[in-house]
Amino acid sequence: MNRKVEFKIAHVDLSNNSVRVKTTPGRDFDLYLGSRGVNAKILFEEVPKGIDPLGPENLLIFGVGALVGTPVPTAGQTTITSKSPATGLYFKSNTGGGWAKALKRAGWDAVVIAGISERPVYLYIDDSNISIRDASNLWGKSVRETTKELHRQLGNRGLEVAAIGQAGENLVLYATIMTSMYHAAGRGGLGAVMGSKKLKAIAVRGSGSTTVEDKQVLHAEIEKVLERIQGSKKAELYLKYGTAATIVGVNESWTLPVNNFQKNHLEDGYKLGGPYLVEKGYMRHGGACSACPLGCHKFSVVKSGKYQGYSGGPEYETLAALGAGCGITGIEAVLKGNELCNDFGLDTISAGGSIQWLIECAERGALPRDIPKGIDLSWGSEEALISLIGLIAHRKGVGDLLAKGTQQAAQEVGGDSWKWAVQANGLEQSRVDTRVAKAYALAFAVNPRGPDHLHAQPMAEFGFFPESRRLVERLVGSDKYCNPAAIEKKPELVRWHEDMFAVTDSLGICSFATTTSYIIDAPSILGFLRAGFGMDLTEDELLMAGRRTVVLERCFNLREEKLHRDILPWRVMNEPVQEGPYKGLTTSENDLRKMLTRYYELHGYDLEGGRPTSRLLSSLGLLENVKGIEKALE
Amino acid sequence: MNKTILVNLDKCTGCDICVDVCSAEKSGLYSEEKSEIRIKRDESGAVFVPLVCEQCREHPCVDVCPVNAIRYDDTLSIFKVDEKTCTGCKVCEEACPYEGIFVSEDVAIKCDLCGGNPLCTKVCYPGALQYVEVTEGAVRADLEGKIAKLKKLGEGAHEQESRI
Repeated sequence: MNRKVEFKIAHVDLSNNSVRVKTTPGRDFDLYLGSRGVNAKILFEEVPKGIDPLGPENLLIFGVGALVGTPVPTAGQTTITSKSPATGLYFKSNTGGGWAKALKRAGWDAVVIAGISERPVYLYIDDSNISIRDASNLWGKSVRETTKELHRQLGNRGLEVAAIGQAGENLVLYATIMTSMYHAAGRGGLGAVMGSKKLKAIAVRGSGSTTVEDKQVLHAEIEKVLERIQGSKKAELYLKYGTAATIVGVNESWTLPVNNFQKNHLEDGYKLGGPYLVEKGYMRHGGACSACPLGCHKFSVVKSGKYQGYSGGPEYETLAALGAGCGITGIEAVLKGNELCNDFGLDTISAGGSIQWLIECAERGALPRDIPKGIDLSWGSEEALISLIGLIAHRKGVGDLLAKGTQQAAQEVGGDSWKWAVQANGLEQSRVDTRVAKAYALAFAVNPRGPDHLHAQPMAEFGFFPESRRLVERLVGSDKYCNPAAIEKKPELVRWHEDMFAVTDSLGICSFATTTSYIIDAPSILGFLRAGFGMDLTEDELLMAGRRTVVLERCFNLREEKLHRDILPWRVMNEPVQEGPYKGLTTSENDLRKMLTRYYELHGYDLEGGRPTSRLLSSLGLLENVKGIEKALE
Repeated sequence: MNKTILVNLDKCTGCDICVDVCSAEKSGLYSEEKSEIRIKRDESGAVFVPLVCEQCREHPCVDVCPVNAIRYDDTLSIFKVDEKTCTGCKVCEEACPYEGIFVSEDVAIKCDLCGGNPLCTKVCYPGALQYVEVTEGAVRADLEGKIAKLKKLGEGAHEQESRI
């Protein structure tokens, strides 16, 4: 028998300043294992079809992972869920830092924000007390200023802040919500949803405690994981260089998008990599998320000169999007770009993607109006990077166009400019060349958020480390499938990764532990669940809980007027790689179709449209658990 | 020579695993309030200072205790708090220059090295906490570094430092 775990939720309606306490049925925990799944259910049931993501009917749901508050390695994550203003579709975003643990220790599993406030406010959660407070003195401030000011006003000790910057206030469609100052819930504009609600920040102080069923057993499981970390090369790289380490390998594998995906390799790409940044004194350790031994989060400083400053990061995606993607290898400018994006609360991938699109417009003589005079719009232009980030966050001049993302911007500019908008479903693609990496290509195409790496992260297809080769061998019979350019067995790999990723998010552990480094495996998670909640599952049941979440998310998109399409950016499918070992490669419509057909088959979707069947929803328990889900089938 | 926990300030990432493992060992709960090791932090400059008793020879906490509740224990050659005698007056907390003793629910608590097997050092993957044989000088140097860092934390001076 599974133990019943109820989730305590604070439901805050900013339209009428009300706070209500709700609990989820224990059954929801059994089905979804925590935040990401439970959030998806709330969103499906309570956000009607077709609503404006920036209107009062949208919800912004902050869910804390089920294992947060325990010392289970990496259990410090929050999943934020809403309908995205960038894609008009289901959206979840994950963030770390110390915010999740503070909320859990304050006695809450989730905070649901509804409505729109008349004036700027922030929420202060002090254990069981929740107050909606005036934020007019914070409006207009950056994430760092806001966080510091709240620390001054409310006291430093134990206070954790989730805040938006100017980009969120100005409804930039890829504004982020930043937790613990430098940890981003990024991509599809959840910061704009928060801005539309006039909610500047959620400050949390939790002085309570957490407990589990059996600490002795849990600590024994934790020690096993820590031993595996000791032997992991990937873990060593995370601690030393953070995700910035990955630049080197991806560049050497000719899959690092350069100049808006025109190329995929950079001669002096090492100048953007973690080892170079540490060696030159730009980067040192930053603040790990709660309970995380990997400590991948870094801190970077430029000590002097015109780019002087400091911030959290930079992450792989930022270095790739603001650096390589714009043709820039001058690290100090990239670090300044990172600092500005963190401060304004701006997604670095989409900011970089939008700037690259503009530079390519200039290259091809298709420039929109409102280009500020005297800015050099060419590959490698540091000036373009720095000035455009500011214009986007404040929606000034051409920044107003770029703030809508490349899908809308290209519609406005017209001509062929949509072809070099490297986006699908309204989201700019993450920084891996999916012409080459086929598991990533499939994972990006089926991602309900759009083409990005945080739905399934099938890094195992590169076979960089022994752990990833072992996993591939176990899943599909041989590590010969660790070949990014081959499509064989990729649907099988993607499906395992998306199941595991959903479980990971719901439990509040980190995908860098369960995927990419593959240190925390299914047996460890089963051990955590046994010791933590007295819950006895098999590995299949565990992965099924993830799949249930994945299918529910897809159902949200199917119900919307605007259908999510399982597709990649046009460039990736139609313009072959120009040089290097993968010269001539694309992920053609045919390649994608082959992988999708197998993927649909594995899921039990109908093979034409990739829709779940009523029988599938019933077998997953979704038909009886989620009100109105049958509408997704119509 | 005795063994104690030395703290490498450059390696701590503020993950708090030590804090939770300690509180669970001492109280059965995961709770900072119940932990004998805590981390003082400033997120903006990524500065983390683990606060834990390093069993110093000067022991100002012992000297100021008005009821002699902090007593020498010769099994590990360290001072331990006698909970029955302690009145929770917080004089020790104020006297310790490196914030290594805490008053929680009217009783002073401080690191007792888990009886010679300190759990926090076993879960610190970055290697900031080390249970090692030390000389008096090593403890002194460690603590002076910590006091300097705490002072900077208090003043917010690390920010100027990181701008240099």
